[in-house]
Amino acid sequence: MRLTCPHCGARALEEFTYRGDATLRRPAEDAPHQAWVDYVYLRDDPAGYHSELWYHGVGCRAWLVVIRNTLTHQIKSVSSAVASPAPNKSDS
Amino acid sequence: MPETLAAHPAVTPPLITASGLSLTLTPTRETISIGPFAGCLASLNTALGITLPETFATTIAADGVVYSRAAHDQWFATAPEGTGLMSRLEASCMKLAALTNQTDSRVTLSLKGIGARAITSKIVPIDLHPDFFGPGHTALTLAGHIPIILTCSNADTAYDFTVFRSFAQSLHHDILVAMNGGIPNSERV
Repeated sequence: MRLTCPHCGARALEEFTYRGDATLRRPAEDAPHQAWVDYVYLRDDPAGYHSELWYHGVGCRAWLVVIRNTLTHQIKSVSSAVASPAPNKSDS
Repeated sequence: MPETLAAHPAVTPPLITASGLSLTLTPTRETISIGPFAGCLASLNTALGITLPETFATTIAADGVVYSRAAHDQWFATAPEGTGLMSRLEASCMKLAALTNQTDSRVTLSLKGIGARAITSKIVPIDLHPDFFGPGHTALTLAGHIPIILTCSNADTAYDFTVFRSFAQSLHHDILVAMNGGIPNSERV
């Protein structure tokens, strides 16, 4: 699998590190206990497109939002996490 | 400011040849990291009299200082040793950017000769075709398992590997093994 970093171009997978679900949002401090349990422990396991955070540690050290099909590894888009944060879970 | 230590060369031997190619430890250059303060990039460009490269590339200023993009919001300025680069930059842009002397942190190994691109391709996982990576281009990537800043000084025949000093001997070994292995499929050319 190769990812096309918006800053560096197409690079091999060994330059990147998977850093988790990009749609997670930290609950408010006074959110119910269950919201914090969901945030800390529960993750979706989607069959299809998924927004993920990847870190280009060996290259430009940018955080990226990658929309990847978990069934086929097809990459739909790669963008800078700073310039275009992933949509909230409810929007995607 | 304390004197930097350079008791022995970063790699030995500093010059070696194999398969018609040469691998050289280039003379140390003063290297200053430039990290512009928030909102100061335009003023910094004016103060330096150049436009710092917005992509991963290298620009040579009229006074011979070489500016390379090293990361997001970070550039390296290099000049020959003894030319007082730090004091010159401090005079022009101390209030616009964080300046850090990185002279002794990295060294540059230069691979030159016919077939240098083929040898480099054996250990670097990016497309080195001159259409994509020609003179002036810079890439932050891997050589084997070692992070490097790769620059092309002459398409096909000259590549510079800038590497942390403590990794230099290991990288030197990897490049030498690639050189000794010769150019893949060269009998067909």
